[in-house]
Amino acid sequence: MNHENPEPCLSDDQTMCCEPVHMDLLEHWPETPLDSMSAAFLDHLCQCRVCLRNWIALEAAAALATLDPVLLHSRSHHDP
Amino acid sequence: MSQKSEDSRIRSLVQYHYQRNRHLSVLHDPEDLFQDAWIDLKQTQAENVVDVQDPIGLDRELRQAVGRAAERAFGKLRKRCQRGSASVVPLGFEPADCVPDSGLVMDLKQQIESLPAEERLVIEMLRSGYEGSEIAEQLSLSPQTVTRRKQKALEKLRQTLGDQK
Repeated sequence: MNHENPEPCLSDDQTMCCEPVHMDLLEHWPETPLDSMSAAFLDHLCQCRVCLRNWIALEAAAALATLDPVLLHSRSHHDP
Repeated sequence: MSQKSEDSRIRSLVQYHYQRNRHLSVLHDPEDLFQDAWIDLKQTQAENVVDVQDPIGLDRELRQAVGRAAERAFGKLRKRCQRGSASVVPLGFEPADCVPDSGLVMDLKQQIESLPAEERLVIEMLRSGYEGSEIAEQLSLSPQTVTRRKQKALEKLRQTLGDQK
């Protein structure tokens, strides 16, 4: 992360302290595994249940989302 | 299932993860891969055929997906705290404290499913471990186009996540 480590919040409210993390989460998702995210991001997740919930929600939603067969065909067509 | 055959399945899954994620091997140690394989194995064992028209089946599938994502995230954060120096912020929650609202997960799922095909393809390839430059090469696009498609897709997900505030 290029910004300073935001102050972690222990509440359920998504405050301004989460905004940079929120942006980071979406900037690096889905290609960056959780343990490869920045130390500041991971420290924040350890203390902010809102951002941790968001991460879990994104991962779960992506796993649940069904793939359109047309998309699969397109992907396999391009696979090496 | 016997312990022996279960161990064998886990070894096979670990091998599979190694093959699939070879490009990430610098970032992942065998323990991480073992954990991922173990979670996948548990998910496979619990998996049933789910009828999308069946709300009970869909709810079960949702709970499994959330449980798996939470288990993976907590496993990695816990391990980091155990390994880390004193400067590492300790994990402040239990998984039960961080279960996302099912409505949010379903909204995100719907959002992902309704992405235009070209944006969805980029997201799915990134999830599969392709790098941006590889996607550009595979789809005969410029790297800038790949980045733009990803950003457009994530902007929609960002709005969905932002709506919950």
